[in-house]
Amino acid sequence: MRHKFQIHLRGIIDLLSKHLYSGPEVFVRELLQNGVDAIRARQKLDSAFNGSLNLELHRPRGKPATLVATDDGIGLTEDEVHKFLATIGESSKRMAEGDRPTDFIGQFGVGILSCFLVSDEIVVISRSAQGESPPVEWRARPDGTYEVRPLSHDLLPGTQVILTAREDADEFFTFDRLSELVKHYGGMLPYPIKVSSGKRTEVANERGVPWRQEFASEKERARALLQFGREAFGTDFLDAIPLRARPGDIDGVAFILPHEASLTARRAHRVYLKNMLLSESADNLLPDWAFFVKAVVNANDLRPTASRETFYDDDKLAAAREALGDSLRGYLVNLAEKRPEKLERFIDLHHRALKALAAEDDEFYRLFIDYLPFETTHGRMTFGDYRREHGTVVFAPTVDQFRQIARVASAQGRCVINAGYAYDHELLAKAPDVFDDLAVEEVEASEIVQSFDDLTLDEQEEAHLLMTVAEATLKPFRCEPELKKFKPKELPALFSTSKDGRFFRSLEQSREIADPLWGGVLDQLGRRERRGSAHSQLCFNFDNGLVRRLVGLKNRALLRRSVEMLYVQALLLGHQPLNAKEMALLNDGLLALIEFGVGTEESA
Amino acid sequence: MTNAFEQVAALMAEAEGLPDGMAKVALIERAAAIADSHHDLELAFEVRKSLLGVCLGADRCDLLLVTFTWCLAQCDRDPERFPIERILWEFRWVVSSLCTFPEIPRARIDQMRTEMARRYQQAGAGRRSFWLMCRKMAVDMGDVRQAVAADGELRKVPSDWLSDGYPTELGFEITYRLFRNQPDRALKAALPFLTREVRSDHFEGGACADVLLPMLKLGRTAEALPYHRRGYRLRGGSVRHLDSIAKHIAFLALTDNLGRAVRMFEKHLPDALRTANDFTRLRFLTDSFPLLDRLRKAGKEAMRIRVPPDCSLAAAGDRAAAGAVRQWMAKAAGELAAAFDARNGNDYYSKQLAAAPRLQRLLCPCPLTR
Repeated sequence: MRHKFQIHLRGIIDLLSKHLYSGPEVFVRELLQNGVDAIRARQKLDSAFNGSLNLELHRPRGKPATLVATDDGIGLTEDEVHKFLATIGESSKRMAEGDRPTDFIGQFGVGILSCFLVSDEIVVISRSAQGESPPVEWRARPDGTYEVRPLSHDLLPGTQVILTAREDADEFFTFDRLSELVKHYGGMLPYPIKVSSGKRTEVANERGVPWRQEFASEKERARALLQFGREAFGTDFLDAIPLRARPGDIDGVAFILPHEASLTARRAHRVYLKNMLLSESADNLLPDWAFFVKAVVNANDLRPTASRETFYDDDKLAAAREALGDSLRGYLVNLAEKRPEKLERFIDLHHRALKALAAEDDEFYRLFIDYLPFETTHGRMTFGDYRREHGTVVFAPTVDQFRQIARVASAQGRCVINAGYAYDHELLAKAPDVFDDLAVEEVEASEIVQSFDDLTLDEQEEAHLLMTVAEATLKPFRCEPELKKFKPKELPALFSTSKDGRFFRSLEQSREIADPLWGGVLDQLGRRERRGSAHSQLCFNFDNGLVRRLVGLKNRALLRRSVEMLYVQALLLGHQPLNAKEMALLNDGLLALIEFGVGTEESA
Repeated sequence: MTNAFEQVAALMAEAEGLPDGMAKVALIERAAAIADSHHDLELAFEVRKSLLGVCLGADRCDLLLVTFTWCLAQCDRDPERFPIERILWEFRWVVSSLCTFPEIPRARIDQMRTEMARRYQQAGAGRRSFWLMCRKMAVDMGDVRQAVAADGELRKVPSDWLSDGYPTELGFEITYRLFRNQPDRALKAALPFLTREVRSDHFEGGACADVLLPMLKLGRTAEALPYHRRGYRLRGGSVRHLDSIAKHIAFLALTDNLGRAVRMFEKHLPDALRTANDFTRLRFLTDSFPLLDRLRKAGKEAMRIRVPPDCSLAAAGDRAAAGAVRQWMAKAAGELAAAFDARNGNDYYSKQLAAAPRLQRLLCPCPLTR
């Protein structure tokens, strides 16, 4: 025997309010949506018809407030009332993405249930514009019961929804709040929406949106757009870029954030579908690189996802995204050509976004790479300035490598770019494609050492003892000594390590404390052929006065202590944090120096 | 000079704003080193714990293993201060990543799996995530028998507080079904991600890539196009997902969108060569092979492809002929496949590579519209 599910409407409303609706205020959106759909349906019958919406508040003293939302759309017959107002699931919210009907009738339904979030009764009075059916009244309660009755008096075609404020929802039945919500959800709608309460009346969407208005000058338009941004988001944006895309039939505005945006921040744009607010958090409408803007757009021809948070990712959206990307690109190109001072401010804040775009788009790369700033051993400079001064682009692949070589490279007049930041490596690698005579070279600190001047045979002989002691002293630190001549002379020694070297420092640190099982795994990992025994190098500078004096020293103990201290000093100069063993070295060395000083004093 | 906590906090805040990758790893490693040098063990632990997830995202399984070993040693040394529960979740990442090192023998991997089971049992967790991990590892090691056995065990045990969420299990189910050559079941498992009934950018990106070739095989090419678009948007920016990216490259090649396929290949090849993860490199090279085969069939072997200047291929500048790239890829992927097969005790990856040319029969031109 077949049975039917029993539906508990109150439970369903609770579910909807917890999982589908962001808050009770969405009842305003649903009222507007139903009204607009009804007007559009009527316009299909009569293309000359201009619809309007009217939201009227009544606040009688000592009684709950009521709201009468009226539209002059297509209206409902009694049959339609039974079918669509009272049959849950007949509407399309649960249908597959893209299958949502676009006609009015299919959409009335679940939406109206949201009114139960603020009212314990929903009264709908409707008169269909089609045929001669009489006006009908539908009265529903959250316990799932409803009554329908034909009305004896005639009415103009359209629908009225009458809500009575629940005690906990009174705030939504005040003029200011209601008007604010109407502007929020329906500020873009092309039909006048009148909100009234007592003597106060306004057409909430009278002003429309500034990008659809005519202005006497570009300046005025920019001012109006920025004012809109300020009101919508409470932010003084850097600039506003009008957006338009034929695919998806889109218009809107993108505001440039007045602060640097994180690469990982979630994109959240305000989007409208057919002029009704769809979402405040659409994340797939603009290209990924456009994380420097906050956009407000309306799309007349895109499909919302089932969750109605954003648009369905289909061909049309891809084309729209590309077109919107073109709008943003066009703005940036225009800045570069006509407003260099503004571009400078923009780059100051958003160069990472430009780098993301340049890494992805070759054409944009050609246009903008010269403007983009990079950190170099000569300070921050644009790529254009760099390449005009240097025939070869030399870069360190990580921040760590850059820090190790910055001082030496600078003293030698070599200008090295720090490519350790996001996108820099990719951008530099692309440079030879764009600039025919430009070579790109990656350097590691250990390679820089190889380019230093060698000692003569006699000098090597002279330094033999220092190097022997240094080798023994540095071995436990997996560091290899080297002796060369380099600038600056004031620098006695340079510490360098490769990426693998740094990894090995970590591996040994873990290996020291690991149990045999895990230690065994690390040993196997450590056996990779490409990793040598030494992780780092300490290159002494033969041109440095102190090192010269060490070369002449015969006292092995003193030599050993000196090497240790130079090693620690080189680590610190290379911005290498000291591990426990190295910290102990520093402490012991300092104590030994104090002892030495005290001893000298006493013997004097 | 600011104190260690402030320095570390500044570095961590800087890292927070970056996508997972080399730059982010470098910042957190530096933060860990600073905490170490100030002997602030608690801080060093916290920083390293956050490094674990970043290592996974940046495909630095070697550093993941090293960092985890350090954390685990601290838990063992002082269980009250560092309860092991703080890193049990990450345990599975580390154990499953062992398969990606061809130099780690299979016996050692088995030992580590047992270690995971022991630690989870000690913590009072059930075996669901263990068997899920075992199945994944068996798939990664091309071991059908072990994968099927693990799958059987997985279906017997209930979820518990330490088992993976539904999206993860479903995501691994797709991989398993593809491994078993069951495209219909793979598509079925992928469906909740494709329809966004189950929300997870990570697995949705994986599912979109995973369904491309099965759909091509089933003659549903046009239907697959949106998944290519969506999937590449979700995973195209991540070094961790070079395997998924290669599937997009193959799909573009087999739908005859060669220009796009070549651009995508050129864009991601440097990461594939630079990664410390041999397994990722192997999968990228194997799965993007259809592009090079396609170029050969289309008579475009002389076409110049951009390769990283420091790569052995780039004899003249930073370009190499498609034919030369293909030869080089066959050799490089062949060597890697052999190394993994030797460790795994089978010929799974060598066979996969040998089968790549046969994918050309799936060719179904279907231009991507703008």
